[in-house]
Amino acid sequence: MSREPESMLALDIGSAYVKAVLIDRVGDVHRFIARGTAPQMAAVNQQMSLADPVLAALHDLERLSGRRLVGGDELPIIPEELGAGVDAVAGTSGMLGVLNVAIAALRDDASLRLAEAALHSVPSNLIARITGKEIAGRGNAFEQFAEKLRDKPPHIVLLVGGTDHKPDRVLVTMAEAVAVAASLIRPQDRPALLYAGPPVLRAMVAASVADRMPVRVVDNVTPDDRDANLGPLRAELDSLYVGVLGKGRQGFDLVKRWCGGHVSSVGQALLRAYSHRGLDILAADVGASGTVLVRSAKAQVLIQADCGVGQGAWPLLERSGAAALRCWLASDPSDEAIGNWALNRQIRPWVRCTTVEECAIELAFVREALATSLEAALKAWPEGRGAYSGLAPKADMVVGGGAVMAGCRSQAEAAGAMISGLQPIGVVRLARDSGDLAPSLGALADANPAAVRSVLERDAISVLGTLVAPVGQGKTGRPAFRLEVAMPGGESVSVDVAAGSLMRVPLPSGVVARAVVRPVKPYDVVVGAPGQGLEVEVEGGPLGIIVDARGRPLPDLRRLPGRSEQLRRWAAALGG
Amino acid sequence: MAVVPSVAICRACAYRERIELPGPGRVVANVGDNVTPADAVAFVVERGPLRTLNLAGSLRVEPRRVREFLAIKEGQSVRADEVVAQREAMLRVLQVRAPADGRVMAVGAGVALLEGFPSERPLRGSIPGRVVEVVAGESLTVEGTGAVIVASTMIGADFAGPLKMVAPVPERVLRPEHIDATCHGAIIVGGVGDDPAALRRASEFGAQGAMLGSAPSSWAGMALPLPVVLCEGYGSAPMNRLAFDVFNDLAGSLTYVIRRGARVWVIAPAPVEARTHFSGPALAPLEAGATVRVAGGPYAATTAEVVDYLPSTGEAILKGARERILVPAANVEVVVM
Repeated sequence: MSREPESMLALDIGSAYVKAVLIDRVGDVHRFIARGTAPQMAAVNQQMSLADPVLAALHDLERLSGRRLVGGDELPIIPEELGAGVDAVAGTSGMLGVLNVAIAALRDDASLRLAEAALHSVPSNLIARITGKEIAGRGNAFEQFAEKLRDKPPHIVLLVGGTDHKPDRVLVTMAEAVAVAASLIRPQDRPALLYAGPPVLRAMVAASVADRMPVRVVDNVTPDDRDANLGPLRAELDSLYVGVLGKGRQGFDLVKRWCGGHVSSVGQALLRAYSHRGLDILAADVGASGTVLVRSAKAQVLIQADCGVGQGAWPLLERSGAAALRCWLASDPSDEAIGNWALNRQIRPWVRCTTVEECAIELAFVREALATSLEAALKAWPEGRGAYSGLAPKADMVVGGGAVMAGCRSQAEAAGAMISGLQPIGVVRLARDSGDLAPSLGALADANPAAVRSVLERDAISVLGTLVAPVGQGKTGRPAFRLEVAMPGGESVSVDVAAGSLMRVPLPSGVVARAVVRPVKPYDVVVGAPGQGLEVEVEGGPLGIIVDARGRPLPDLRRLPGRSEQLRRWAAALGG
Repeated sequence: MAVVPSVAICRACAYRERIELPGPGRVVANVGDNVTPADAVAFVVERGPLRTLNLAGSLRVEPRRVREFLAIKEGQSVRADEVVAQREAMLRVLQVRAPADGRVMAVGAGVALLEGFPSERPLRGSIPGRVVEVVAGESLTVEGTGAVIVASTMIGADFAGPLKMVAPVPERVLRPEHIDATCHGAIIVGGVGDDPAALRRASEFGAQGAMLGSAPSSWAGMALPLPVVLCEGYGSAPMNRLAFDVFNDLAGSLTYVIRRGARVWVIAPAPVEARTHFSGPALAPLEAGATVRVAGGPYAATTAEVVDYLPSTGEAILKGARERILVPAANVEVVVM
């Protein structure tokens, strides 16, 4: 039986930075050792090999750790020998571009919407779609579909429709029509047909297109009329993202070889990082280009492209508008100042904020990126939305990640961004990936899950406290709920919380207390009924228990009277 | 020692670029040819319009049977009105004719896809220089020597012309009154962009474009009368002194402004003895003694010398013209001169 790797190296190939992260055993446990970084110049210079910034980050890591990692042949030393090199290398990347997808769906129904939802798990762009009815019409719709495929060949054509119990042979005709359209593309550029329909038709679909385009199959996204099955399609899209897009990037094959083929998308890496904890975690990672949201218990991933604090800042500003960004800011910067910041970040995503005003704008973009991504996730995660649709999914823990979140000047700032951007509901622990390590650790999760868990708990995730945030809206100043906390030492604290208020109850880090929340109607602590109480364990942290009675959803900040003053009060309440 | 981006602000430089065709096409430039961005160095195939012929519907047969009635072969070229498929029905002959000249690209699922004949689009925009390598149907490589300055961004399309300084110092805000008839046909090199009226006046006088330190972000969404290069980025930072001085030395020289990826290459070709080689923005070590340009924050556009790098904080100590400053290493770029 092969031994699990001890020393490991993760290469996180982002849009702003390449990071090389070294973890190793220290005493009885695995710890984070050091991180080397290099600006992602391949994002600026398309002719630059991706391997160059990766190698620069590795050399930076060698300098910082004092450990030789790269041999004379400019290849990572694997396995570790005499204190040089590492036992395993894995990578993750979110900067390979966008997976262009065309969808052919039997009908404009649930299967089409589910297929579109699945596309959100990787950076993707839907370039064309067509239904069985449009194909049968053999008219303009098909002509336009074929022309789109010809002029902008997709990386994949996804064919969906029908349930396992009611397979419709029209799918076979559709596959043939797609193959006819795809034959307009040069053979070397032709996409594969990814079939996610009833299994009984797989062989017929494959036979109908086999001489024109390759075929891949996954489980049906709608096995029956009630359930959605997006997991296999999401996993296949992730594999295609790395496999197909990586081929187009100079130097990526080399990096992949360094990683022994173990390179995943940042979404899957993040999901793996948080799937070992046995908790339902809603985690966000705000990157330079896009924002990733994962929900570990349901294996859901959402990648919101063009929604970040680097290359994604200007598209985010264009989509949301300066007013939406300004409403997160207590100061009142001009549209020009916000625009300058966003465009300069697009030009140089690796630059760091140095003034208070720049930092405030950056944090406003983080909040907006989180809010925008959550809105997209609520549409893209159709499974089990339940009674609290339109609100963040109930989770045991909410984790904020990304370089900005890790670099926040205070814990309160990080918590404030997460609370206002994601609007967590119920009683939920708040944490941040203070080491900005989760994607790197996720890349290594398959190699040594226990080591990754150890580093994640000791060096990456810091619990900020527990948030108590009931759903509902009440008149400001009226009673919202009572919070009773029984401390481990026998002491108890009772707080009557008024609607609209935000406060903290101290509870030190590492301390777990029993709390009872007794809401007043219409407030609901996410137990299914307004006014129903909840007894729950709460974990302390630097921010203790954050009591948020502003309601969910939060009031519209754009219409909030005295917004700037209110934002300052809320920031002060959190300790910022 | 950290690794940071490098930026070329170079008076005497050997530059080189490999240009790949974006699709099927042919390279028409030959090794040894001198080319400029205005020259067509290759032609790229533009495919013709697509038409769907509903064979199954017109012939009133099952889609799987249409091949039986084809009058042509798949892949064959046809002229307008030529019969593509026909079937003898009981009382008449059902025919499908080509609606235009083209080629029947594919037949299946009851349809034929007819594509109009392709045309060719010229490929321009190479760097100025001499063609040193051609790979037929794939790429060409161009080399040259001269001054190269990499600017941060550009609003508008590529342009060219002789350089004309319109600001005595980089800090001066560009105003309409700084523009006169001597700007005709030139690239104006000003200070800081603020009022688009100055660009309108430059356009009226026939200027080709403007090169500024920075300009407000509102310009990015405007239909500006002239293309504008921003050496530093958006805001109110002046052009860095090194670039300003190089432009000053190059006044009157024919200069080409070409967008490359996320940056802009400003090239003034000249037969010089090259001190450095340039093939695109790259990475460079942040070493003591290196000249850097600060790319963000309150010291944006400052050029200075590296005194030391502090790995514990990720900051660099820089020696500027007047004072020593401390900036995040992430915010500096090593200048390749």
